[in-house]
Amino acid sequence: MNPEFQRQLWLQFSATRAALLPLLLVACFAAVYLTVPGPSAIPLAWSGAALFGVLVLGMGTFAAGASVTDEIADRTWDQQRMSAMQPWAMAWGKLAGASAYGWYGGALCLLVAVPSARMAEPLAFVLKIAGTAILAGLCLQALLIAVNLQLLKTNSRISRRGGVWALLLVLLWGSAAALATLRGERVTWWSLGFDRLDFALASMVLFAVCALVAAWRSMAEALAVRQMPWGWPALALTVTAYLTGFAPAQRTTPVLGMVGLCTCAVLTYFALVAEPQPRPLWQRVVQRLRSGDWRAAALQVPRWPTTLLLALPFAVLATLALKPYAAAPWTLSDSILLQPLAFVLLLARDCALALFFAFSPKGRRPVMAFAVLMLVLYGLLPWLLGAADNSLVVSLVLPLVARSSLSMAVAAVHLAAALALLRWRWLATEPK
Amino acid sequence: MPIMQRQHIRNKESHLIQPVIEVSDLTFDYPGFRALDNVSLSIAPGTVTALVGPNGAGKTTLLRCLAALDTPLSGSVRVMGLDVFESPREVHRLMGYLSDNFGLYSDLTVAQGLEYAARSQGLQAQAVPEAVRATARRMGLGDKMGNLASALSRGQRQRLAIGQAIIHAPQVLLLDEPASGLDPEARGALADVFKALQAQGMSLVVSSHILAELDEYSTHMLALNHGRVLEHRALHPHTSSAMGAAVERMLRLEFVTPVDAIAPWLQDQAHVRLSRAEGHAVEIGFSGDKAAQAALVGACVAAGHPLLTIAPITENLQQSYLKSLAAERATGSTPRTPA
Repeated sequence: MNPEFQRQLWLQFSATRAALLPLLLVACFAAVYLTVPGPSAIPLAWSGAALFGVLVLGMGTFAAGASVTDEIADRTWDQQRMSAMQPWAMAWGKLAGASAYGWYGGALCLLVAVPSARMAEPLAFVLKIAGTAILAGLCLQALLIAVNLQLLKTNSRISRRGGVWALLLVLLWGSAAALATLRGERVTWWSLGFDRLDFALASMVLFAVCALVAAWRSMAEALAVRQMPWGWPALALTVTAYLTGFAPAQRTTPVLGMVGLCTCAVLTYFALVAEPQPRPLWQRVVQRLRSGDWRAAALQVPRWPTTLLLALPFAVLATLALKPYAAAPWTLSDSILLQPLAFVLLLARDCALALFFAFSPKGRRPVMAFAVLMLVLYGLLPWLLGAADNSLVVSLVLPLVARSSLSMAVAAVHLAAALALLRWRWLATEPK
Repeated sequence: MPIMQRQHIRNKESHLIQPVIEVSDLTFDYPGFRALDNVSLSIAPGTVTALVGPNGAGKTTLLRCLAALDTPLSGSVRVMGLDVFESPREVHRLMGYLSDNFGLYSDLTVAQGLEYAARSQGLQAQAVPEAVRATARRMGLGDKMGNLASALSRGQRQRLAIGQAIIHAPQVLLLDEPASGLDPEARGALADVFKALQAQGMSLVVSSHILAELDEYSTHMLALNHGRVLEHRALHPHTSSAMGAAVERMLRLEFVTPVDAIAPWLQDQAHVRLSRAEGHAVEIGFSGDKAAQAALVGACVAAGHPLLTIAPITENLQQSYLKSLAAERATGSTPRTPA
């Protein structure tokens, strides 16, 4: 048996806890059965689903996330990192073991909910809903393990406050439920028609696989098992392909370009602020590049450069594909949608500025400083200058709103200035 | 046959000469300062190396790099020939590590904690029960198997943590301030454990500020300061590793005449490494056996160098360390002395 799985079972299960949960659930269902007037099948199904949500999506997800953060609290993380277990074994041991008690309760709930729902709904429908719920639980739990492993690097307390899992719970479960409840309607995806519930189930399989890969790769990183940086761009491509599938067939190419660009931008910014970017990390990359060891450099490189680079081909694609649609209302002429290349240059500028703050020897909160600067550059300053009604001045500050050629030139100047600042900071912070 | 003994025999067969740890040009930066600066060293099998140095010298960083817990800017670390940064999980099967800030799974019993450690370090399932029993006995926790870790005393927790680090019979054990917070009796017991582990062929690297305690069981001293190796050498004369590999010892040779001309001649002799020459005396590191030492005395006489006395240099760890530190401060250089 996987040692981590077994350890989690030791912690999660005792004879008392194993006996207590069925008793509590029986009491809950009995209360529903005895107090609800009329047929009790549907109320029992709903209460079973609700308790499943509490136990699997709530308690199980929280326990899975805590299986990572507790190692820090108990100062046992070094022992785990020193073990000989491979990342996947450690990841699934935590995932399955920590949430086992929640799944135990969830399984008991399904034993009541599925037969009850079956009295009012077709079996296939009930099973698909149950499958979607199980996959949503797996997805959330794996995702929170991945997120907490990332947050460990930043010493963030967000995960311990439970904010992240609550947010994910609402987002994922909410969207899956919304899809699932629209029964009878069909979804067109990449020109293929699907039953909406089938599509929700298949989508949840995809999300769960992505979450498991994320947990595995994050664990590998935490256990110092370096891997080539394909995971982040692969996620960008998967999300792009998934979202573009909903586009009308005749507009697939421009949508692919814009969705890819936006996905890459979101993932780049997310990785930029979620991963610490200390100078020594980049020293390692530069040192390995200088010695010509490209593989070693790739093993050290953080996530964001991969999606920054991937944004470029999407920007080119979007630029070429959007030309015929420039007059169409949905393209918002002269806005960000028409300036993909300038947008990539600004994205690169923002990365350089984030590193500028991250390399500061005195900066205690580089992410906060970076966020404030972004607020000023993208919001406050253009707003202030916009009051003067001078679009040229505004376009110098925010080149996305200028005409294409001007925006490209101004964005390039922005990038050059940011790189110059970064170079200065790099030289000024040489270790002594 | 107990696991430790099997490991010991395997060591003898396959690693008679090969160092268990080889560090080459290791450099590690924290933001704004260099914690390790081109550190190179090798640790012989069956030795206990006292890792000493002032606060901020780089001791913990070095141990964490050896354990593949932190990635250096440059350089390499090999344990039993394996690159720790390329194959960290494989290296961890050969290594135990106890951090200065260790924790225990307080809701697990002693037996569960040891079993988890054994299995997560890759021990075969059938070997786990015996390893758990043997380790608990060795660490004096045989009668506490059913106790929760949270119910143990400070010393017992320390011993449980060390037990978890050694249960898979590693060939290298890294310990960062292992005796911190222990009472004198518990420290004495810990020293006995370390001596027993060394006797079974394990190589230990122990970082501590309590030099008197290290002196009790260390065979070598590795002094760090400002991230550089001040000194790395055998501590006691006639010290040899458990594996039988030749280990250098320090000798002081006193001559009738000033040693200005003798020192270069000595340096060319077999097994000799010149350490210091001053006035009428020379200090050398000597890696030969007694016959070689007798041959050196004969060579001195034959070459016309009037040798007055030859004696082993005995100094405790504290004296060695302070001398290294003083030498560095006086000269501004870092005398690197390979063990």
